Amino acid sequence: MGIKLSKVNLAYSIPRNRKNIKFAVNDVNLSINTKDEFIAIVGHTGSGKSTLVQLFNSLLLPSKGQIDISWHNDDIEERYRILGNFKKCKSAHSVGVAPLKFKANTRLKPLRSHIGLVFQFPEYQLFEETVLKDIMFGPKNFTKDKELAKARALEVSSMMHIESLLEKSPFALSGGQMRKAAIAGILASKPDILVLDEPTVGLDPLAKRELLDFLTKLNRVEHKTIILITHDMDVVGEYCNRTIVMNKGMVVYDGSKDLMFHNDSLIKTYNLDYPNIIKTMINLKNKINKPLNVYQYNVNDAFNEIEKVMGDNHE
Amino acid sequence: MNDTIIFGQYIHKNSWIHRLDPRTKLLSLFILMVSTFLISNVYVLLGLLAFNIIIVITSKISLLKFIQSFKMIAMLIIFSTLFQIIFNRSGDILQINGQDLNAFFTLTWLNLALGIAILVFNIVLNKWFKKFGLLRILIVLFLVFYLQTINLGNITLATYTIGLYSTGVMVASMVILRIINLLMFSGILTFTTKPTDMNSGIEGIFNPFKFMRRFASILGMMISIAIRFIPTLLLEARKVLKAQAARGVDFKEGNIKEAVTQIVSLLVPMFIIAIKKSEDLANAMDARGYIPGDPRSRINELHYKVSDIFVQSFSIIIFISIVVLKTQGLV
Repeated sequence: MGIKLSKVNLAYSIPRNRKNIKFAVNDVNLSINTKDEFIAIVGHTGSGKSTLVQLFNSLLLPSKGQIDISWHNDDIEERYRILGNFKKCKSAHSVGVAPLKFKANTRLKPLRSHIGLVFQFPEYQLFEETVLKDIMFGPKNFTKDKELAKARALEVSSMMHIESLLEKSPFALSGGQMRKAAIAGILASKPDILVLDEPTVGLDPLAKRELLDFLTKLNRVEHKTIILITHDMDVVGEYCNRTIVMNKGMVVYDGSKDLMFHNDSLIKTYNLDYPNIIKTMINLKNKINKPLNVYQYNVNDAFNEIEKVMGDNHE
Repeated sequence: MNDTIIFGQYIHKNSWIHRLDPRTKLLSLFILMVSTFLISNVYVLLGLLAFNIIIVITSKISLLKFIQSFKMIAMLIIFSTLFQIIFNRSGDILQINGQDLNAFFTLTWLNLALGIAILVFNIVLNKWFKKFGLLRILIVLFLVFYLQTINLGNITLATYTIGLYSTGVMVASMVILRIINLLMFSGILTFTTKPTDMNSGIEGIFNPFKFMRRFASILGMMISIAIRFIPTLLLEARKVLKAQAARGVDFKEGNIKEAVTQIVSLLVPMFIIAIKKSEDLANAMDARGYIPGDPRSRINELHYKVSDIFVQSFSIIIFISIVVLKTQGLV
């Protein structure tokens, strides 16, 4: 169950002689479970993170390789296999609306409701008169059932505590509220896997924390898989349990966050950074010269660790 | 960003016409276009066409590019020609070897039905087979008229003749030549002038008139901003399209009502993005002290050269001589 990419390549434009092709995603092998994963995709800008997540729900189709996606839908197993195709891909990208050109698009709908994708600055996708209608838009497209769509919209909005906004125009909201409404619009179609492209950019600290706590709740309580693209190492440290590091379209690291932060050379080579807590702990360790476990990801753990090492003798 | 969308038709070459001042090109081509409309003599128009072709050849731009642009107005040319030939019946009828050039048509029910069938067939064919559209229309027209020369069935609806009359042919060729000349002139302008140069040219032309200066600078800035933002907005449109596709929008399915909702889901965000971007840009321009109409320095100053003066006076001489000849009734 889940998403499995095998040797997936994607090129936005393919030269006629098929030489020196620049791949935005290069020979990627990945497998992601439908349940209980909290993944962070990190890497500097232009490393292919956003392109990679668009492959997950077939908004982009691979030029080479194979993507297998399967999940259980009321005890029925749904399977998708998307094969790379140079020729189709080329024509698709030259018009810029990749998958919409394909006849297979209608069949891709269940896939898109299974894997929800929230783009960067999702507030720009709001368009209806009221927030409720906008949240209903996704499920209405997927299920063609207005009542069901409304029920889901109400459910999601109570989950995200935005009931008070439902009758307002989406353009009368603040930035953070708009972001919430847009994410609710994706969640309302009940995806098992939720992909968010830099969801915390431009949010104030409180809204950021609220959003991330909500995502954690989704992950822990509803067992959904959350995939975050982020540059914020504090978020990676505190919330995620698996990290994927990308560089020049290739996946250079895929594993637990602990191992990643233990790997100094990896962090240095790909211009990554440590979370602020780890940096503080390292400084502290250098100063007090005691065996301190610096790899702590939240304030409480760090405090406990410091207390344990210092004993009662802290000055 | 400019790799993705090639705006305008500018073709980079190094010829005398590329090097001309944009103001010269704009003014002289405008004058020449006006003179094209003044001429109603087919032979003079033919001469003008030859003159055009010489300019094109010296501008190092392939003549094929111009011929490609005729494709857009091919339908217009075909229909205006047909219209003239069918309805213009003044002058003498043209003759070949002493025989009148006219055809007798008999429209019967069977002819009408067959003609409609051919048209429908063409429309159906158009869905599957998109190439050679123009050629197909010509074949359809030919077949529809050719059927009427054969007497099919016996219930006649109407009989009529179509002949080639001298005035009709003259007027038709005059219209075609005028359109082709105009297209060539505008092609020469757009193929050899960068949009930015065109813009500063427009500003430069209006600059001497004090009361127009503000207007010209606003117009110029508007044009350059519009051109600059086309690729940006297209990029944004792609993003919105993908975001809505992730919410299950599919432009290929659904009834008309759903289709409208889906298009609205693309249009509303696009308008909001455009308005927001324009507000941001206006603020940024204000912050950097932009005041429309105020004197500004520019990177590429426009300077008249000897060739500019020569071209400008040449076009004015052509214009004056055509006006003089027109008053004499010669062209």
